[in-house]
Amino acid sequence: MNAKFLQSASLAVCSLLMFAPGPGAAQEQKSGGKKEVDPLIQAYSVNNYSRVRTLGAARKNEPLASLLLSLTKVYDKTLSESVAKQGVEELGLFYADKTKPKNLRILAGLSYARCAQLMQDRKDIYGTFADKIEYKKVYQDILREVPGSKEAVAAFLYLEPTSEEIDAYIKTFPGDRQLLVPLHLNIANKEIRFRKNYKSAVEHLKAAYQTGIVHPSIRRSTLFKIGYLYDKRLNDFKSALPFYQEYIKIYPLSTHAVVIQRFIKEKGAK
Amino acid sequence: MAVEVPMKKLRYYWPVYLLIAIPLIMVCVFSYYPIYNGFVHIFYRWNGDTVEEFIGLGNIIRVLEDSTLLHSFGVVLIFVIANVFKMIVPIIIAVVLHHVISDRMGYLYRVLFVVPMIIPGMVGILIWKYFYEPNNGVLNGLLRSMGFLAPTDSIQWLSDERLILPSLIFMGFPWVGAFGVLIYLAGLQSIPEDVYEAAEVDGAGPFRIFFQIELPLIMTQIRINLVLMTISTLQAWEHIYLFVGISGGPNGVATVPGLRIFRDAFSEGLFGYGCAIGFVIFLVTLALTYINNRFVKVNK
Amino acid sequence: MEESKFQFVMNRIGLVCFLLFFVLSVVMVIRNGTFGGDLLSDGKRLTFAHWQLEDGFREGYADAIREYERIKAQEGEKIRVIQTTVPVRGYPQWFLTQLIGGDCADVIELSGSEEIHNQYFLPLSRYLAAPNPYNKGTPLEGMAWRDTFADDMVGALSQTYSEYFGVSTFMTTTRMYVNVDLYEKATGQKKMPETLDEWILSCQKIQEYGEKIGRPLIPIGVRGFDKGTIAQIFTHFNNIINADYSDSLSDYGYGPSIYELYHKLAVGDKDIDLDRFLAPAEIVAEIGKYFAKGFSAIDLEQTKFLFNSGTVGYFIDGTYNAFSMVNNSNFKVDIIPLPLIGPNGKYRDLGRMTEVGGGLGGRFGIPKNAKDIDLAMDFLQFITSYKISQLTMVRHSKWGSPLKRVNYREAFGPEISAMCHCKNKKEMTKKEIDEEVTLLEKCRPYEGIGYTGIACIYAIGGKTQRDHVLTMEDIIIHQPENPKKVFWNSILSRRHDLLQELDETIISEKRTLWNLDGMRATFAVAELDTGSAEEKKAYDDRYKLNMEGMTNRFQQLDTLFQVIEDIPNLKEIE
Repeated sequence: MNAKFLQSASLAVCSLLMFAPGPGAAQEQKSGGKKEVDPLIQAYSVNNYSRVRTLGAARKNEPLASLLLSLTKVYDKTLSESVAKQGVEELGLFYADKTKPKNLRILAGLSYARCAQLMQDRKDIYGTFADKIEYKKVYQDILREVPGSKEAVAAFLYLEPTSEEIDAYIKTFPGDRQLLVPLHLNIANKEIRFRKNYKSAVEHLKAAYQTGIVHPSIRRSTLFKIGYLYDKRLNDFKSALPFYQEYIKIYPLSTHAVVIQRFIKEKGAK
Repeated sequence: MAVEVPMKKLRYYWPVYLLIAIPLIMVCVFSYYPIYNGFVHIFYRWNGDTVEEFIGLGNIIRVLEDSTLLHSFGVVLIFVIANVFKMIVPIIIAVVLHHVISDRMGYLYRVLFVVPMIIPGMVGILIWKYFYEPNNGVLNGLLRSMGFLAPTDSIQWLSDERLILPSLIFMGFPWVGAFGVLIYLAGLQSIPEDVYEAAEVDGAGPFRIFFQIELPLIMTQIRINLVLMTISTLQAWEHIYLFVGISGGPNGVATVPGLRIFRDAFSEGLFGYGCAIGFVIFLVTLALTYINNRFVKVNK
Repeated sequence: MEESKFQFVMNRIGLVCFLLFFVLSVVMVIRNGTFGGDLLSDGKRLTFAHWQLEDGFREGYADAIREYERIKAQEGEKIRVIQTTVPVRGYPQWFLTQLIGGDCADVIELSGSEEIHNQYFLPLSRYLAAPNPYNKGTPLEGMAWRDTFADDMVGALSQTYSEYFGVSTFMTTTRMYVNVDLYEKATGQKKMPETLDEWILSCQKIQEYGEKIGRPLIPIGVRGFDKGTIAQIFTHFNNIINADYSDSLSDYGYGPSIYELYHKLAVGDKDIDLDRFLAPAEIVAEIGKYFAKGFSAIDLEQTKFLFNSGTVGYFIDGTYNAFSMVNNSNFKVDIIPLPLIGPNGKYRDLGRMTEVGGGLGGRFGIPKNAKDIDLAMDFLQFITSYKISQLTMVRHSKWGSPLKRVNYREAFGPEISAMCHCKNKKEMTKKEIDEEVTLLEKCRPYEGIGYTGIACIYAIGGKTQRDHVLTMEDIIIHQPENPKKVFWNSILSRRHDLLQELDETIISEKRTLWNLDGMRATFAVAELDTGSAEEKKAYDDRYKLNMEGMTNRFQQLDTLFQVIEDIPNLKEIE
């Protein structure tokens, strides 16, 4: 084979490899006639962090982009712990900057405090980096600034309140009562675990259920638990029965419908 | 032979270098990068997917404290020693083939030894697994027919702790690996005829010819095979997995380091720890290869 | 020297072959790839991929696909559905590379972790809230799609991401296959064993029969390789003996978790009797005497082969193998439940456990970058509809349907038969239909006496749990005098490993809390700007779902911290 042939062959092979079709790029969702959503928010809402970084880089002077870039640093698990620390610092600065839009500041503050709290619990990875961050103060500030909001409830939950504190908070909460469902569930668990106070637990589970639990399996298990606690812990089958009957009505073919039928049969009821 | 090419002439050879560059890049990407990546992940708690936390020497300390890992290295050492002895058979076969007088018969024997090479290794392992099957397997069936076992008795070749290692070593009997036979045969066939004639004149018998002429002259091939055999035995685990499962048999008696890596990484999600074990295997292989090069001399 | 014509040809034949095969490969890739498929066809194309190679599954879906294409053609749409199967061993790797490469099937069986599902798959919540249109005219008409599944899709919900990414396509249970011919010859009776004592007696008789005819017979064939059978038998008897603890031991309902059990043992709670939880070890050791010799090295395929060759009396396995077990054997095969202990047994017997709502599997999802999401969703609804489930799961695969209220007999009726184009289309006599339906009804989940399963005493940790099953295997082989003592003391001898695992579990829970907070932030950001009110509500729901799910994780973490303190206080049996 002569040199010219070799030359042409190598050119051909290289061109083929360079221009061969590669893997397809991920497609963005078609908007299909709906209102156009900010692509940065759209990317973040599906946890497409690399796209957030790409789009955010061009807009990093905007508050939203700056916030999302920082959030990406703390929540993208493919990044190293040093990047997460950097993200926490940026969130702290964002939160402290009163010129930023309030709703974004609150989002930043909540993530800043929570990540700092979780970092303090993971000294094996983060060392003493987060020790100086007063996350409880940030939570309390959020509670004061946006009472009745989702962020306030989350901040309150993250403060790991006692049962009495939760009770007091629930009574004075100004916002959507459905946001309190996690608090009712949390206090019920605490009452059972630490105080064996089944009566109080049942009241909170009932409040959660009647307010409306969104999580389908928690909704189901809460309904069962209410009947179970009344029946097996408070020896009050009469109060348990309506909840048992409701469970069977809503979930007639489930495993625990059969269990409840046994409970009812054992008590001689129908 | 390689010659120095002046830079200004290089432009005439660039297609050659370009063509070499492509496979070289692939080797770097698919061979060297995974090795580097594996080495880096020794220092991480890594589940192969979403969890990647730097833990410093945590995995190394765990390796040093792991007594079952030490046991697995003991097991693999037994396999290495057994395989050294199993190398003797191909050498003997090669010598016998080399001395077959009829060319036609020699050719026929070579073909007969090579044909089984086309059977995939996996198939061979499954056949041996059937041999060892305690209830309906060939081996127990043979022993029953010869009266060594009662009709409803069986020997549990792969589930009796005392028998697993011998069964795994015995696998492949009579251990005539065609690849080894061909390599040694090629070495023997390169010995000049006049050496044999001179030996005959000196009154050397067949054993003396073998030990003083043939064996030293094929020592290069033996050494290469020894290194390759050591490396492959240290890394091998698939046949043990197929024979006795991921647990390595009762009480993990047949567990080897390769099986430990597979189990810890892919079954328990401890990829970082698996990388650390892999690194230890690499060090052991390096040490054994050094010993081989140092002490197995080629003296022609 | 100039080349002769022959040499010219021979020297270039390699190049010609190379070019020929390259062109052929390119043509095949274009033809079979999604890009080329769209290019070459004048209709829409949909790919459907899974790893179920069992008898009947592919044929069932081939018929379902045919029916779907027919329905769409009637509606004026030309659709072509391609079914792709990949062997299970390579499936997880193939699945991931397809997703990363962006060329994944439009409807695909899920594999891998929740993180992969969240990243690549379409969230299904809002679709699941509406009825499945293909359930019109069936008992499931008008029901929300989610509620048509036997477990209300409780098992399919990702706890980390508060979302559904796949829907189940089948349901299986565990049963025992019996070589009826061998059983009748060995025991001299037709009635199948119902109690433990009857079962063991029949195993003895099978062994004796083998000695009599000079053939090594195996009373109980097991999947020794993956230790599946040992765990199944242990769990079965553990439930029968201990399930009533679900009513008394747990404050949270739904039975005590293994952590709650260990806590009560550690503090010496008088309400719990360790001996009851160790009783299954004794039973399994007794039953294990009748396992195949060398069972620990025998894998599933070997056991099935041994069973089909008539050497095995009983084989315990999932009902996904029912069809092949019955049809590949030259003898009559019966399917029976695992025996109970019985009223005269040494141990207490609560009766048959409830299996309702369990055993769902085969989840299929839609990648976010599917070419036509509406079409893929339509197909997914189609294959999980009542009649198609009867066709694919009941008529063809002989598995259970994941849906509620499915009538098995109807699957052999004229409507479903009209959809069958494969070998199963043959006209079946009433007797044949009765036999098939009887077989299927034997695989249906039991309603039971109203108890659900309870944690096994060894079911703590992942690696240590596997080690405990190996201990059980060892007990079967060596038959110690006091298997309960050996088993429990062996569990405690792995305390160090267990504590290490629990540490890892706690770290994993803390990581989950971080992920959950990440999802909270995601939904909060998403609500800042949405395309429609419907989308905003969806994100709002997911936010609330996420926060509610977080309370479970707080509870779990508290439990783990407690059990770390409990483990060192557990005592050996003297």
